[in-house]
Amino acid sequence: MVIFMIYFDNAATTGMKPPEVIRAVNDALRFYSANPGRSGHSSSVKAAEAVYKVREKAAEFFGASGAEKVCFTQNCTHSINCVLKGVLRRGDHVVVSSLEHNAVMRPLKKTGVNYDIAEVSFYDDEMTLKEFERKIKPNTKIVLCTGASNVLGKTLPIKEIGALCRRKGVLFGVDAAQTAGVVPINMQEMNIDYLCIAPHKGLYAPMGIGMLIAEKDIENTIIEGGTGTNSIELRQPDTLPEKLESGTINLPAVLGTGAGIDYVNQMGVERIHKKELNLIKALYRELEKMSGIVLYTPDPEKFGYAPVLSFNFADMPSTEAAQKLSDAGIAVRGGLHCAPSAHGMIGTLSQGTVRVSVGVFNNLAEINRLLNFCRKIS
Amino acid sequence: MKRYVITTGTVTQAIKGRDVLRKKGFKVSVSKSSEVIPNSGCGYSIVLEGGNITEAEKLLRRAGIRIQSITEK
Repeated sequence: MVIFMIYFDNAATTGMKPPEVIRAVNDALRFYSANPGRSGHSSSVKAAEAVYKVREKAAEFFGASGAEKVCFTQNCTHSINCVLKGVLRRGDHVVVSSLEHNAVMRPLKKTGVNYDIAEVSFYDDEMTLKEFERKIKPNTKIVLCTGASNVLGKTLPIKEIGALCRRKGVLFGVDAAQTAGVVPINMQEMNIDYLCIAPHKGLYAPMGIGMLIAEKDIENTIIEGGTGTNSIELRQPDTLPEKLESGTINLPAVLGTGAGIDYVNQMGVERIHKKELNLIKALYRELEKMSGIVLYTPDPEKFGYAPVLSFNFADMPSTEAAQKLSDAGIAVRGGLHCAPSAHGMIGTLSQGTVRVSVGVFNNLAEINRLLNFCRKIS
Repeated sequence: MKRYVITTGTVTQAIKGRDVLRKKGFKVSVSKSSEVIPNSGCGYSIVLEGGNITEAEKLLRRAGIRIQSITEK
């Protein structure tokens, strides 16, 4: 049995967490174990202060206008649900991209509103932008799209789409599960109204937490309950973040998120991205030389990418290939990655793909181990 | 010295308001509201020790803090 794996499944969750994050979670349980925003004793207020500091850090990191815009949710999917179900009404229209995860598509389907899919070009962001513009209708309420495909790594021209939405008077939401902490994001500069974040990925936080940074109001809540305030009123409070935070928040994960933001800040987002992308480029360069390998995206050297790459060993089912790699001590993900529309675009709905996603702790020696294995199989 | 309790409702609003005032040199702290607010319930307050309450209120409103009540203690 292999105990220590080479971990290339960072798009699902970053496998290694920095010591600072582990320490923060540990400290949260030891020194901050009181319910923030509920009681008046000093431990509760101290916990609330610690949570507020993380809100401030997140707001600054993502260029939001204030700490109170930062809401803690269960996960990124929960954040996306809050946005779609919170802003949409019957008769509204939505535009999404052709690379969306089911975290977007399933709640969107559930709302019952009409939507259009803007086809993403792998080669030309200008074409992608024009496609979004074509899909916007007079009753379009929101454009919600991924920052980068969790299957192919292709990034979308978020700043340009944000400017388009502002010009058209349409709300703009971003599923930043694959980009928060991985590529620079500034909500105000990019005109992002709702940013949905998976801190356990690019921010190296523990699992079990999401963030929604909401610059605009969310009218309807999907969960109501205790907020520690206005308890006599049965109506849900209408101020963020408490409006979206009924019930006790995951304080250890919140403080872990704060430590993760500090870690990424210290390393530098652009430096991390460069390091991770260099690994993907090295992988790509060698894979494209192997005759039995099918690559699905254009050269990451030339086009905007998050550090994610999909390939297959000829017609071998991707889950079978992923299992072989697992047996060799290399963790990758096979299958459809909960994003069938992306697989529809590249024609892999029946085979899926082998996805390699790197994190800050991966290195070239690990990529070479993977390549050696690929040479043997292909 | 006069003491004012500025009830904001949520702890997030109270902490944000406290930081706004602290940056302007006010002596402030956050506490759970000592009394249940009529027709509302529990909440948090900013406690202001001395200073110009009119100026403090203006700063808070400008920062988007929702003030439920101001009481002199």
